[in-house]
Amino acid sequence: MKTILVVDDEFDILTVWRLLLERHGYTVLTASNGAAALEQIRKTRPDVVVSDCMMPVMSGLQLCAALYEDPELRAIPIILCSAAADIPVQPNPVIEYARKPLSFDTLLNMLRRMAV
Amino acid sequence: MTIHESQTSSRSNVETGVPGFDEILGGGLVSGGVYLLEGMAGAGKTILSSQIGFHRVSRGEKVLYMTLIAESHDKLLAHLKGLAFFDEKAVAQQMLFISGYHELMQDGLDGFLRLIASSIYDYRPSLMIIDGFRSAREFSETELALSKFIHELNALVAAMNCTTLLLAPLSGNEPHPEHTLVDGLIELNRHGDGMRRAREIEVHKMRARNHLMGRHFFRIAESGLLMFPRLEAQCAAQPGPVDLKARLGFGLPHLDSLLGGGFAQGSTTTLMGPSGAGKTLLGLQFLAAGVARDERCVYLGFYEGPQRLIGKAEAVSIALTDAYDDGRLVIQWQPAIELAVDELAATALATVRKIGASRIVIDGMEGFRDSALRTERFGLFLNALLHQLREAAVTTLVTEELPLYADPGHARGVRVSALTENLVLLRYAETESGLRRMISVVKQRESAHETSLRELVISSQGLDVAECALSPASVYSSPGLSATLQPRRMT
Repeated sequence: MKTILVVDDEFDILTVWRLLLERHGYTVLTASNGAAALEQIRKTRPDVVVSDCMMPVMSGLQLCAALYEDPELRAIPIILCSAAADIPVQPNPVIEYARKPLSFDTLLNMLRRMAV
Repeated sequence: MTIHESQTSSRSNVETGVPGFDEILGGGLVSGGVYLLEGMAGAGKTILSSQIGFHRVSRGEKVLYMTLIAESHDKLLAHLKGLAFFDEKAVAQQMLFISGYHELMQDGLDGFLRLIASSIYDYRPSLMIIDGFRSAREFSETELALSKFIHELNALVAAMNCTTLLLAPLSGNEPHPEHTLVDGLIELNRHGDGMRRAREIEVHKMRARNHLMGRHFFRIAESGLLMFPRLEAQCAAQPGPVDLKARLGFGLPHLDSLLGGGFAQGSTTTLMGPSGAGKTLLGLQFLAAGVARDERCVYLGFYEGPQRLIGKAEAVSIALTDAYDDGRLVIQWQPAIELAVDELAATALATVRKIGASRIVIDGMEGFRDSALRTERFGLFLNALLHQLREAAVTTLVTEELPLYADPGHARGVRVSALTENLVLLRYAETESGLRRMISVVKQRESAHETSLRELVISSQGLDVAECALSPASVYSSPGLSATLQPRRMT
């Protein structure tokens, strides 16, 4: 069973992705900012991270940078979500970008393409 | 870099299929939005939401109808069976009815949300109706818990692109957290006027839509709800281009001559006069002149049905039978009993547009006014109706009854004449030989006209207006007339 870490500072997003992704057969972990996510990633090594961009404490972009800097975590695929018109491109090639609001079907398609 | 966009981000339009409702909403519901539909028992919430549901089903979509503490599914379906939109074959296939009461009782709002999530995931509806949302309010221990639930519900249905209707009783002026969290707040209510009651709908809030503010009448028919957007709330469009030189007359040479050839195309005229002075017949004559030129015409009246009206016209040689039979003339007749003026106006405007009418006679404005609910809005309503007719380039003649023995200036209610460009007055003159009908053109805006007083003669041979002005010497009296009647040379 694949594990997905969902990172978002909005509690309703965490609840909804957990309910739907679990129903689809994934194991779902959640974190409410980049720092908490980094801690979880180091402990659990999820198969994919679905993260918001704008968050307190540590943003999604900072989380991506931190993962890129760590050779052991660099290969973990990330779906970076943002409501902003321009999403700054990160050097990490494993990052996919999605515009918020993100529908469940779009998320599933992205996961499928990423073979997660 | 590819940025993956979801279809939900476009927030596409969800047509309700309820006549008039999408117009009130400002273009329908927004896909993936959450709407709170409030109303007292019997207000029509279940019928409205089911009607929308079956409409979406007819478009090949799936609908989930979830009940909490509401009537049983058997009872609900039995009530819906009598309505034309109900599709028995769709039940349990494209329209699924399930209860969420058990989960709500056992696991509270969290359990209820889990049920909603799994149901939407499994069934993939485009529309979800939660009937009896009051139970969710009651099971919520705090306002914060209810707010959290609504937040999560919003995120869930947006992610699944499932438009959601929450049905709840009226909350009155009491603020509820869901009012601020939902995308739309719609109230169904009743308006009382003496012993009469009318159903009304008001959209208090509608995100991402420019909805029609205020209250609008609706009724429940066999086909379901029929809504009538308040005419004066609708966007006032500029009148379309009209040929200012084009004149539409009565086909009576002497009267048309007084009018400088006729009324300007797209103008509105009030024809005022006491009972029996010839208002209806002149209106019919105006329509007969139109159909004789192969124009399409509409008569809207409240007192006489089509057969009686045509018989009355034929008795004075106004030929309308053929035009009525072949559709050049449409007679819309509605007894002035508890009628909803918005429905009447909507039907008339639809007829005008459908047949491409160039003339309309609205016969008996007082019948219209007396039967209207919320009479305080009648002036604005009438103004809006006349505006829409002008916009459609229709030349309009409105008849208005004057008291027999009172000054015309003392007419009650809204003065229709103030809203129209032209005013033609019919009165009786008491002469040596008896009562005679008199006609004069009092006002014709932006157009030359003659103001002389003429006799209107009605006989089995037809209507005619005298070539020459009535001799003042022969007039004994005429209410409101003596001050204006000056000796003049006969033309």
